[in-house]
Amino acid sequence: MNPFQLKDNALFLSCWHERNRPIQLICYTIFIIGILLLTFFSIALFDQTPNMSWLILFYVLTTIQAVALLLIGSLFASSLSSRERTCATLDFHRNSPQPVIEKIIGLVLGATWFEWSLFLLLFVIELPFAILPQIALVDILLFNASLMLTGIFFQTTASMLALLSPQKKRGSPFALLFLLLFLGWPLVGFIFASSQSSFFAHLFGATVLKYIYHEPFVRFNGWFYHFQLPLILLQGIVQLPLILLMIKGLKRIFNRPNSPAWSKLDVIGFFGFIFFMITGFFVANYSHFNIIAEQHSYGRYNTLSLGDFTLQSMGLFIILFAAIGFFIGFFTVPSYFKRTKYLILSTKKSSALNNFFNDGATSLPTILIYLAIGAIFMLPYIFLQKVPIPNALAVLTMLSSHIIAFAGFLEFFRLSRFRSDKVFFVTTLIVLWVFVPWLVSLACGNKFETMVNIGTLSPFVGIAYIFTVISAQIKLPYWPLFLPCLTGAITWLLAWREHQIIKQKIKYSQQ
Amino acid sequence: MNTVEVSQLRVEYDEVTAVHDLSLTLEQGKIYGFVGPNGAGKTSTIKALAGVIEPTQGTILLNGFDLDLHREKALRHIGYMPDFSPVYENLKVWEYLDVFAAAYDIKASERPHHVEKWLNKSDLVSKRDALIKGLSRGMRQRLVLAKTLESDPNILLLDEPASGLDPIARKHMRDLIKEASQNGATVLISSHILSELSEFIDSAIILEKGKLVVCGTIDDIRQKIGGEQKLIVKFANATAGKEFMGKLLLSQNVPPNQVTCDKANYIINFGNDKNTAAQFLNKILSSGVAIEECSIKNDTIEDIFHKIGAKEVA
Repeated sequence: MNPFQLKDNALFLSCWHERNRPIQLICYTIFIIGILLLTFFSIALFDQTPNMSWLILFYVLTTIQAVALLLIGSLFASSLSSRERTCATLDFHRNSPQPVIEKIIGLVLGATWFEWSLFLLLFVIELPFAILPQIALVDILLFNASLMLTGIFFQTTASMLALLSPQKKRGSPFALLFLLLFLGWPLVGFIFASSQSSFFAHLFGATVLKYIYHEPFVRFNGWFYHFQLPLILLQGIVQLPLILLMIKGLKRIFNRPNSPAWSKLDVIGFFGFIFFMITGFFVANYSHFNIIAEQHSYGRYNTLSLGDFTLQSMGLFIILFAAIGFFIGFFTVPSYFKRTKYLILSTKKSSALNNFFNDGATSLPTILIYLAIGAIFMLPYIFLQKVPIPNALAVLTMLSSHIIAFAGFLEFFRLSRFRSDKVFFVTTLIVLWVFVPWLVSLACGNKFETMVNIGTLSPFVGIAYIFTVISAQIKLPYWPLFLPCLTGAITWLLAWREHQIIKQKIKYSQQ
Repeated sequence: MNTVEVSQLRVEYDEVTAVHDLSLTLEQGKIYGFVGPNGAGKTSTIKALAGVIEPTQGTILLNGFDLDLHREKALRHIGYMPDFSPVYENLKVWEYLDVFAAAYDIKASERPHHVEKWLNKSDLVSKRDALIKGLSRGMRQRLVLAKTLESDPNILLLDEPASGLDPIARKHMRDLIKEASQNGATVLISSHILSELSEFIDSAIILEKGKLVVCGTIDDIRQKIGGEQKLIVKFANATAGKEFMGKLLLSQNVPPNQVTCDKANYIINFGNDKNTAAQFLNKILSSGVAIEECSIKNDTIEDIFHKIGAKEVA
């Protein structure tokens, strides 16, 4: 069956019917035509250069396209996906026999069909503008292709996040977060576009700016590792895997109602990909440093040394490495329910269930694989920054230990009898990460160095300590870096004990 | 032929075991009443069968397909109606039916006719172009039932479909379900309106605290739990009746605690002993004493359900 046979697609029809009301369409059309006509006449009235009027009109058209596709389209994708969840009609579609890919296309395209129609209409209207000397036809085509990619990425993400939220409420925190991200898009896009790594600029679709505004603030050079690629291809390399990830998540939401949207393998693959991209842009920028030697900020050009650039990039990578590590711990630690189900099924069914990446499996293998991937992609930074091997090892050990300790404690908490008391988790974490290191360091006397050394037990101090060790600004002992290993071991011992208790319980109930 | 086979089904919600190792077999073309107090695990079982929730363990075979392994094939011929009405508030009634007809692969060219047919069957023709948000609760229930039946499923899972319906709509619903069953659909229907269930179900499945208490036809269950037979007699003359009954009860050794007497009305409880009740009735009829009314009343599903509350049957 053709997935684009939309007249037989239930989810498409449900959205189509809801949005295909005359009053809505008329208002929308009046709004857009009003903006276009008023802008054109205002410019024509005050500006005597005809080319400029047409050029500004072209910009208005492209802006309407971007707003319709990226903002309004994403809002509708989020709203109508959220409707499926809150009205519980999602359950009907879950057990309807339509192939899941049709359901996804129907949902996303159905929610945004008007915006896509408008986009295509404006694209056709834009084509004659190629006769203007400032605009090339190829730029119009590339602009539209770039906008399409970002539109698909934003809309699938919006739909995914709206369906992901467990709340019954129509407006979900995920959707809000997404909106905030979107509203901050010009800002975020600008910041990342003007920063050294163009990964985030491509991710947020700032590539479109390159095709219509040929301004220097959009700093793309097309380099990725040791290849120079067309920008549209680079944007595709950044956004397409993420679009596929969103589609994979949507598929699981339809097919596996009680499972997380992504499997552990998906999560590792996703973050591995992020590291691959970020490191790729770093290596490219390092290799072609003369191109970006001048950092543009607030209209001024500041000179940036290669050393500073490497250190800044490494800092960003370490922060991401730590943040993603904690997130992966949070995402991959099984709930009590999933763990129990996994153990019961693994005793009854084939050993196919006993794999590391099952939703109910312990999170430790996933986290170790993540840490290994992170360490591999950190190597170029360590190598280019010429960090001494012992320092690098110590830094990696500390980072890993904090992530492992967090996951271990979370696993203990989710499997223990305290699992329904989230306040217990938060309080214990604050005691372990803030109060204990603070108290111990105070007890060690009034020495700043001792306080810092003991403070490494907490990631808050630990991460800052890592920067000092990496930049080798001062000579510090290595032993504090290994302190978190101790907490990691303790938390996993506690988690292991809970695993044994659950196993015993299941064994007892099966007898 | 068995269309639904459930074995060792367990549904857990963190601390609570909603369904505890439930095994069931449902035959094609039969209507099964799913009975149990609140929290017995009826809704969880139906949701697990409909693939809406994942059970902790157990195997569910629908039309011979394992729900875990062949989800799409297993759910292809399922009609599921939850205990509330999931509807698109901003769609019109016909649009709603159109959407779900498309979901079950009914082609665009056939759908208008199909939708009209179900609008008629569910008695919603007058509301054809009304927005769903303007419908009453009962109308929404009817609409969702029509949506459930329109795909012509051969397994119907109905969770409290009659709640919120007026008596006429309930009868209408019963007729639709009976029709589906006559066309070969297996129906599993949960309801709190027990008296209504007994009128049209073939078998009952009684759950309590997530466990199967008893399953079978009403007669089977009555046998298993020791359901009661009551003889109800109303004499035309209270004095003559009293005299006759006094002698008869004494001669038959019927203990006084089995007899309830109110003027000319006598209710004699024979427990599960069908033969004694029949013999007793024969004697009354052949005695020549004038009687106004006489009947044997069996336990209803409601009576059985109340009894099971305190008694478990293997």
